Amino acid sequence: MEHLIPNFKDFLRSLKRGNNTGNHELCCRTCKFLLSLIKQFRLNSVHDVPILISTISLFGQLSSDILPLEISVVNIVRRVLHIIREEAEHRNIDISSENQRITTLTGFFRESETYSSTVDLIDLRETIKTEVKNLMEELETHKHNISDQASTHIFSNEIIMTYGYSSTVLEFLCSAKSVGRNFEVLVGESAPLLTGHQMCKELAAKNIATTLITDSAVYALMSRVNKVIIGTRALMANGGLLTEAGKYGVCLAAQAHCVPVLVTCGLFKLSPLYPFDQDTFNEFLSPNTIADRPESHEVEFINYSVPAFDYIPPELISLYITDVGGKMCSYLYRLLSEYYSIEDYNLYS
Amino acid sequence: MSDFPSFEGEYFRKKSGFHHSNSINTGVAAFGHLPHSEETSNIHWAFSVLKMRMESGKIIESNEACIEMLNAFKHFFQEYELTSNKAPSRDLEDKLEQINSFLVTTNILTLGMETAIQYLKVNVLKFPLNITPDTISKEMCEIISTFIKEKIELPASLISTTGSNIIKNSDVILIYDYSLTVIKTLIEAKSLGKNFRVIVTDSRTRLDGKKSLKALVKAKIHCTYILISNVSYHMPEVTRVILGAEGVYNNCYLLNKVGTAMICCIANAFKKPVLVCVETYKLSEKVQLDSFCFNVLSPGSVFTNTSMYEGDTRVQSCLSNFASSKLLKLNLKYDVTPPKYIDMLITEVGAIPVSSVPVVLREFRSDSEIF
Repeated sequence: MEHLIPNFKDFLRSLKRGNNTGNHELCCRTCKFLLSLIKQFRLNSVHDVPILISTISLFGQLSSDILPLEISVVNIVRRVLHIIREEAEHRNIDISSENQRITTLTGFFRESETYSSTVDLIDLRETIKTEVKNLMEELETHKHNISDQASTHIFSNEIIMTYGYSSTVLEFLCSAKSVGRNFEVLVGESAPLLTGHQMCKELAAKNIATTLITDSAVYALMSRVNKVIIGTRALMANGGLLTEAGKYGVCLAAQAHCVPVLVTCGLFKLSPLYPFDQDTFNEFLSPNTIADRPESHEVEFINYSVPAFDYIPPELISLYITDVGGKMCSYLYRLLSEYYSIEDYNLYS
Repeated sequence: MSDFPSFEGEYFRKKSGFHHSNSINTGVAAFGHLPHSEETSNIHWAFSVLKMRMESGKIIESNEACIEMLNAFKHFFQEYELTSNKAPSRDLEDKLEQINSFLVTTNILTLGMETAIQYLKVNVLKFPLNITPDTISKEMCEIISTFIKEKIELPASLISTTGSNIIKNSDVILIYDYSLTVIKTLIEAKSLGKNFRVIVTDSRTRLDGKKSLKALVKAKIHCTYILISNVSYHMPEVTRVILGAEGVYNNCYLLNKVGTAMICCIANAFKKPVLVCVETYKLSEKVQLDSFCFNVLSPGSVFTNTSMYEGDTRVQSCLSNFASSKLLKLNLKYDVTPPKYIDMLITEVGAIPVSSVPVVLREFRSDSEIF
């Protein structure tokens, strides 16, 4: 298993270098990589299945070390692990590790199960491969599934505010336009990276009435807005969001005006992690995005600070529009147990 | 096509939009009511110069702007000649009215400047009818100097004394944009030996916070420079938010540079006290509830032309070569902050709750005689 580590590291570093392609792209590549790993893995006996699981866990550990803020990449690893565990359990294969947590009370009293040692390993591998391919398909179609719901959320003559660039929100709005809804979009420009300008360009090209506003004008204009629709980078277990900096202020302004905040995101972004402050997952951008180099006598008195992310608590979000429908934040924990095995919440255990 | 016929078009327009429904009108529909700048030829040269200087963006601070305007009035009074056969005070009243309406169209008037013009008008009318033009212009210049001294400069130093006593050791103070009174307060607190840190918040497209940063660093105060999108990250460590003001309405709403309301809203969510330094001449008899009725629109082209700092080549707007009839660029200058977010006003009459604005107006300014 150790001999694969350099391989894994190489792959993850290549992901890190191509970081500007968006995390959806990274997830697709991770999924492909894991699929080829499963294809090549030598599955000679049932005792190899736990080894496959620990190999993929190791990959997950490495990916959260190398890409700590690409939370959805690690989610994909968890999803794949869940698939393997489900299939192995289905075939009565012993995959329990020694320090396995007992998740139910009845688990304490359960008689040691009899594990079968003769299983069709070829069939197992094929089923896992199909399931992982399904996952890839889900990644590819999730935007379509989300934007299909647009007509039920956007009505005529609405004014919608969004902030920065999000391909999911873009597709959502375009879908509403294509079913004949006439609405206006206000776009916060999201300084210093000005991703909102890109959003404006693409919305205007789709013939949607768009207005570009400064980040500072969000509160002033909120009284005219019917809905705030934003994308997110990751969806946390408690329903909190990890997003580009600036959206926290937008959500607070929306709350002050009783404007609902909708979040469009694929469920592959749902993560079993719980942050509770701004520092748990964050990084700082280069100060040269906001300021020139200060003069020498000023240096010791000035700090430039450009945090890249905001953690938004779940109280500020009205609705999550996912690829499996609209969800409330109180229901997200249930979805977690549907997509992940509890053993994989913490990959380091 | 809507699924519900009654939800269509004119019948269901809950909130009016930003785009014009027809292609004849240009500009932002929601702000169509704001006065447009017109060319007026027969105005005193001092005011044309004032207009030019304000539009070039050289004067951005409200006190500076007010003093600049009063200096323009000084030039006007110095060169004043009686042109009609009315009494000088009546003739001046007409001319002041004319200048006032010119200044309204230039979009440079804020609440404090309106008070100052009102003050001049009242004083002009106080002169007896048989006064000579020479005396009146001399007297008026005197009055203007007194106003600048007693209503702008003296209050600012009183505020900085009160404000600097409020600042405690190890405070982290968040300021926004550029206000001379706030800077003065902070520098005075530093000179009293207080040990504190300042977070200077800035926002595109004007980036006036850089001026604050320069002034504070010169006084050897430790600063952190952030953009308004990162206020939520830094708010937990802040102990006080200190802001300046363009003016305060009679219903206690605060008029200030756009973004102030956003910062106050975030400060309120994190339960941080918001203090506003304001001279009483900026208090107004007017009332306002939103940022739409009165505002000033800066040209939208600055969105794409302004970079984060001079000579910046890193952050490029992808809209610089893009034009579409479907794309509006809305660049507001002011916004209005509701009083629920403001904890204290620091004025020259002391630190008062924001609800005391009408009281201060009544006690310190009577109808017959302003001030």
